[in-house]
Amino acid sequence: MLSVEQLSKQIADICPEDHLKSFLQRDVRPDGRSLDELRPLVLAKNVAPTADSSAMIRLGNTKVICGITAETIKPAAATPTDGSFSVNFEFSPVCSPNAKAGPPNEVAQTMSIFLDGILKQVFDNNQLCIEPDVLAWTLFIDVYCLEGSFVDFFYDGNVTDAAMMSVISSLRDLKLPEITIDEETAKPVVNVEKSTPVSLKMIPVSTTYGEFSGILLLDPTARETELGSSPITVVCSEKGALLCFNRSGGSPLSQEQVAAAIENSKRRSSTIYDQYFA
Amino acid sequence: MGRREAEIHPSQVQKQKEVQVRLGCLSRCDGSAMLVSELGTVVCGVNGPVEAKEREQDPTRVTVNVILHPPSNQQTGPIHRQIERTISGLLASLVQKEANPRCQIQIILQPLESEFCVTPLVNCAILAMLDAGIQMHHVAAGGTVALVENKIEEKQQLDLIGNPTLEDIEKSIGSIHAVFSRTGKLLAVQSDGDFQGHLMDALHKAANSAKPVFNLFQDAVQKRLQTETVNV
Repeated sequence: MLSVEQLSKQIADICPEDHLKSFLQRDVRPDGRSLDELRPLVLAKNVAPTADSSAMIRLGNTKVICGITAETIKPAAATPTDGSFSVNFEFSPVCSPNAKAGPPNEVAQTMSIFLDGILKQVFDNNQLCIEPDVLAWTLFIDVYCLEGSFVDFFYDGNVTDAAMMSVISSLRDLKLPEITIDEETAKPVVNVEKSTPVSLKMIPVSTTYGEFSGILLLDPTARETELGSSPITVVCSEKGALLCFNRSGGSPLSQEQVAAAIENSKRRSSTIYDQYFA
Repeated sequence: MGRREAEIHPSQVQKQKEVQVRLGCLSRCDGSAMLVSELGTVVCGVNGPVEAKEREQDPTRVTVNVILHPPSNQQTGPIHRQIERTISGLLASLVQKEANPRCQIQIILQPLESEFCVTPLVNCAILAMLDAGIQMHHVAAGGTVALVENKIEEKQQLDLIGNPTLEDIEKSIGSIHAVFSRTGKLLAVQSDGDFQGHLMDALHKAANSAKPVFNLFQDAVQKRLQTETVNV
């Protein structure tokens, strides 16, 4: 005799769309969440002691880790008072059966571009300068998805949210030691005792909605993303500034739905900021 | 490569800054289109539905592959991958997936200038798919809006420009490329920069710039069908 859970799981495998629809008709999702409820979010700091700063985000089953390493370089001739940063996102082969070892695939490269685009808006490279035209910091921001699947054109929506949050959390914890250039030897002298944190103009929080038959589902699971059409990602700052609005195509959305999604994202950004970054 | 007098070279056409469409410009593809617009000149070739490689086959639906081939002075990079993903996600939602299981549709986009953006790529891809006769649920069109800051009498004023040029986009604080259905509903969107509370207005304006593109599609297909009939 099958239990209710076993029966439900079998129906989900045989006719997944009907299974999801029957839950949504009752304003609830198969995992028991309401349409605009997040999965449990856990933030762990300093998880990789070899990196200069790191953070891991667990959002339900999705796990993303970010590590930042700072090195010194000579600033580019065109921007002598600016340092630089580069974001590299990869799906680790352990994250899902779809992921393979090797150079980042198209999905991962898109994520790197997305994170880079947001950081360019909130992070000023001027603060990475040590000595104009002589020495500056460069940050290597590595983000790895440890668990989270991706299918065809879009990944588990919350990999986006988790990745964004892990990067911001790592940046907030990053402290760069003071470096002075010795006048006699012209060599850099590092003072580890005195470190200053980097500053962000604002704290961006990413909110992703899956879309299924015209209904928006906050923080979609892999199954919900697979069944629906492309998810929507909205990135807002804690003060309500809209930094990014992306969607790669799917069922038509009305203006009201778009406005509601943006309003919800603004609210969520300030809640996340108060809880984790204030 | 020399110029032939009888053919129109894209650089000549571009100086007129008028939107021009040519369907069926590539004879080796199932469908093709060339689109000349303010935001750049794009050529698109579509092949399909063709048999997909076994490991890429999906038994229930067709696979859509978009390749963005950069102009000759550029190397492909993550930015091209991002644009490819946005466009392939959009086209996959437009195409009748169940009509051709285990098949794939290949869409190859070639912008002819070093500066290009998403909107003409999307519009050209859809024109090429219409030319190829790919079964679609409905048609979509893209529009672009840029948010620029103007100094008028020492006051900073924010203006939304529908149908901006590439120069406008470069100078803008933010730009949005959005794709809409015929009824004005949002299908896909890619935004850059902070819109400072003007996002809904920008989307509304982008929907308005996308409307005349549907007429462009209709005219282009009508012209193409007339040419085909006359040739027969």
